[in-house]
Amino acid sequence: MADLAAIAEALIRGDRDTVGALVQQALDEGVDAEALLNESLVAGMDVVGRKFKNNEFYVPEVLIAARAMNAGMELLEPVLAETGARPAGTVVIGTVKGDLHDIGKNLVGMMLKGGGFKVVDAGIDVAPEKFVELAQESGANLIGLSALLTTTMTQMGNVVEAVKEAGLATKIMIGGAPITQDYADEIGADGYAPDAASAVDLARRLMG
Amino acid sequence: MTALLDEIGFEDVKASFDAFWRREAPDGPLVAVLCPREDAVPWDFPVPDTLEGRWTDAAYQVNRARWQTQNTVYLGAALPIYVPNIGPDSFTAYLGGELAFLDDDTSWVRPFVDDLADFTPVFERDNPWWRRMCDLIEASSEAAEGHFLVGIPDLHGGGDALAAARHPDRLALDLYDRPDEVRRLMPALTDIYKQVFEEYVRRTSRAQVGTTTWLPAYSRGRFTALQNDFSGLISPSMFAEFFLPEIRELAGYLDNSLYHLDGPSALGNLPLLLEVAELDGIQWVPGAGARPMSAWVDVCRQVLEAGKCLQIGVASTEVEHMLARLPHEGLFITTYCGSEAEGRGLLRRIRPGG
Ligand code: B12
Repeated sequence: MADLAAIAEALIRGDRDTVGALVQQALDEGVDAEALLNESLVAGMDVVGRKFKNNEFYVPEVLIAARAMNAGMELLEPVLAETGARPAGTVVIGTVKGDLHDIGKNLVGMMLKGGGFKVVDAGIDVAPEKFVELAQESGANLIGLSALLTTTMTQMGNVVEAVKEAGLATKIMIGGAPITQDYADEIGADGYAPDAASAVDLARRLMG
Repeated sequence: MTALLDEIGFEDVKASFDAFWRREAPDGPLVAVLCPREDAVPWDFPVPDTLEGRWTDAAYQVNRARWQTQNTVYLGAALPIYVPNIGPDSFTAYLGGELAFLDDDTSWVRPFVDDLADFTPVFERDNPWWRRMCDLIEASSEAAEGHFLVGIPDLHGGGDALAAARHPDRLALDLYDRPDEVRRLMPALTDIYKQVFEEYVRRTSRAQVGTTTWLPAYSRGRFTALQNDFSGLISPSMFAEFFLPEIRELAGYLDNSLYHLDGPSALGNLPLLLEVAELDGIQWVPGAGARPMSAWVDVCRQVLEAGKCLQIGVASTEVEHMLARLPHEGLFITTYCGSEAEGRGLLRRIRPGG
């Protein structure tokens, strides 16, 4: 009998082989793919996010957990696609123009994946037009912007403008060490989150 | 024209730093104040039209160094310092990385190590980036002539060099996947750090006796800022296992050392650093968007009470607040004032006798 909690535990330990084996076993036993996703992978990444927020986990622990999650996702994705299950939403995420910092952005991207979102990674040093283009292409519900420099955070306002100008309904959430809720309000972004775990909560909230 | 270093009383400042390293403050708190000069000289030199030119053209860099020192008033323990700079990843570039210039303030090395097992770091003296750095040091040391000091360039060795060569995310995974390779590489990188530092000292010693760096303290001996920003991303136990040995080794090798502790995420490593007997002290930088220095009195006290030196950059409006709350022995504050009058006023208030 598939043990979904054991999958979550293996994920939290970053044990990708066990996650892969257990997910495969569960699928073979006919466990519903969506339940499997939510109760093992998403649940596990939730714990990882909380531990990271509480300084029990650091970047390496989050990365090995995310890698274990991917091992499970690879097996789940084709089944989910077949059954017509839809992702929680699509997010284009990137670091704004002039900024190369991507560790935080990558963590947020992984946690969003872990939260059941489809994530389009725009990379680093991304111009406003590129965000618009990728959002249009992917039909994204959300754009996530990351900036670590006080000199590049001003680029976020330009993306908000560009999205408005393109007439997209895509919502924009922002984050990065120098960013605050006040700043999000000031530039008209739809939301701000201080860390990767809260970013998933925020994305869910913005999806309405 | 009197040389600037005589004008500002370099000999007295040297003596103040001697006391600082001994965790003493016989003449009151050690505060360096920079202010803009009122009768500023306008910029009147050619500017290279390429980004790479602005970073690496020695004549342009020397003109900038002169122009900056001419337009700055140095008060208290402040020293005119020019630090030859092609970016924090220069060390990684000497090992074979390709430096890319993003804008006038930012350069970086694109990750180039696909597998740690294939990486054997070698410091080649004919590396093109090393040659360029040597040109900058040479030109500036020649121009310095008692007007300014030439600092040891920003040296991101060890863990930061590995993070740049691999990408920090991949190095983070390596700590779980290839710990043996990280352990193999760190001592090799420490050894190269020493070679590079040795060369820097030899080349800048033309400009002055003693050393300084981008962290503007001065030592009659061999000093520079140590750091490992990557360690802000990992647990204190991993920091202790993989990277602290290098810090201990280098702190022992230098006559004076300050560790650049960057951001709240690195604070977990502070207790370990405070236990490194060889290390003189800590530079605490709260990080991007963080609260002002007045919010970090506890961290500052923790450093000073452990018997370590502490360097902090403080807004001029907070200098007195911090001085009132911290012991002055081993404390070095840097600040910036909008005018010379303001700067002199601040110094009079905090060093009434001086
Ligand atoms: C690692 C690092 C680098 C690495 C980056 C490597 C990489 N691939 O990312 C390198 C060496 C390349 C680098 C370069 C530079 N850096 Co840097 N760097 C850092 C450092 C040490 C850590 C940043 C980090 O990764 N933190 C860890 C992650 C997990 O945190 P985070 O990014 O904040 O992300 C979390 C949250 O903010 C949030 N979040 C992040 N993004 C998003 C997005 C959304 C949508 C949401 C909701 C949430 C969210 O969730 C994340 C996870 O919880 C910081 C110092 C510090 N301690 O903060 C300096 C720092 C950010 N850098 C700084 C500077 C100045 C530079 C350089 C200009 C240095 C130079 N002269 O070359 C260059 C600039 C390059 C450029 N143009 O971008 C300054 C910025 C100062 C300022 N006020 O602007 C800092 C603060 C250092 C300092 N104290 O001076 N840097």
